[in-house]
Amino acid sequence: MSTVQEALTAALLLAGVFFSLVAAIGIVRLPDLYLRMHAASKTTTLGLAGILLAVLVYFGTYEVITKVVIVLLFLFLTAPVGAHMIGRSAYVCGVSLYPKTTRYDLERVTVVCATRGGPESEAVHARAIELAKERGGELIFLHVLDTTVLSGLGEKEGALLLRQLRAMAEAVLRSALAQARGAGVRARSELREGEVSRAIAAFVREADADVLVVGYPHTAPGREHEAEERLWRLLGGLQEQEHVRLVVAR
Amino acid sequence: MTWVLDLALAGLAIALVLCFIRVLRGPTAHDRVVALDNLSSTVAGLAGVYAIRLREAIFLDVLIAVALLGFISTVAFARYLERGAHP
Repeated sequence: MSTVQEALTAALLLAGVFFSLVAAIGIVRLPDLYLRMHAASKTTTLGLAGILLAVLVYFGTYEVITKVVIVLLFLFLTAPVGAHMIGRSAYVCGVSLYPKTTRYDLERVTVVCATRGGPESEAVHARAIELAKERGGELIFLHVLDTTVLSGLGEKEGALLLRQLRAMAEAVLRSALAQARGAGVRARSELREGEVSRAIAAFVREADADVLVVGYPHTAPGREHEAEERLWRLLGGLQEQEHVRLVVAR
Repeated sequence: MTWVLDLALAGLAIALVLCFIRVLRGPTAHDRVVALDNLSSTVAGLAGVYAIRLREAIFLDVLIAVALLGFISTVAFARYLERGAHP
């Protein structure tokens, strides 16, 4: 046993033990499961690997070298698999995160879909359903009754029209819910009245939505600037809530 | 050389105790599983240190067995806990 061999063995051994110890400290000290898993992965990949390499250097026979290489390969293949399975299981079971976490891409989101109804809204619904499905989120269909059209009418006439509009809006929402049910996504619906873009912005704030799906406003050909204007008005209402993602579907 | 081996054993023993603290404290079952997985890795490392200390390469087989069992038990626990989430 040469001095170099001995020194190398000692160095690798101490490095391995050091990482095992650091990982154990991390497992006790870190604040949530996912961070602890980050620490735990050091035990196998650095700690155990260091000790194994020390064993390899210390014995140096073909038998030991073969075994160490096989075990190292095995460890480097299984450690990520095991960590992934535990992490996924924890996420599915809803193990909570450290409250000061700043970024959480897998958070369950609230998707609000502002719908107008009619055949061209189906693509918009489909986009919202797809988004809710891929993020595992809650889906709310929102229909806003534009009550500004009633302003010029008499009281009796207005009440009659409002009743009819409400019945129509409910039918629109029912068909949207049926579409979501058909795609296997649970959804609920909301009916609001008022000026459209203001009501949408107010609802987004109230529901604390993360994503808002709207259809491209439809206008007569040659008057596209009106559509743009309506979108901008909606965006203006949403400006205060910067975390909301606006998706415009066609 | 012997003092290095003693130091290594002491370090791994402390790591084992720390892992046990996490196993006892939890708070979720997943925390315990992660700590147990780490515990089995540390025990495997302990087998490696013993192989050098006793100059017996046969302890490497112990290391393989412990590492294998650790992985299998982690996967089994993960699947078991996940099934509990969707009855």
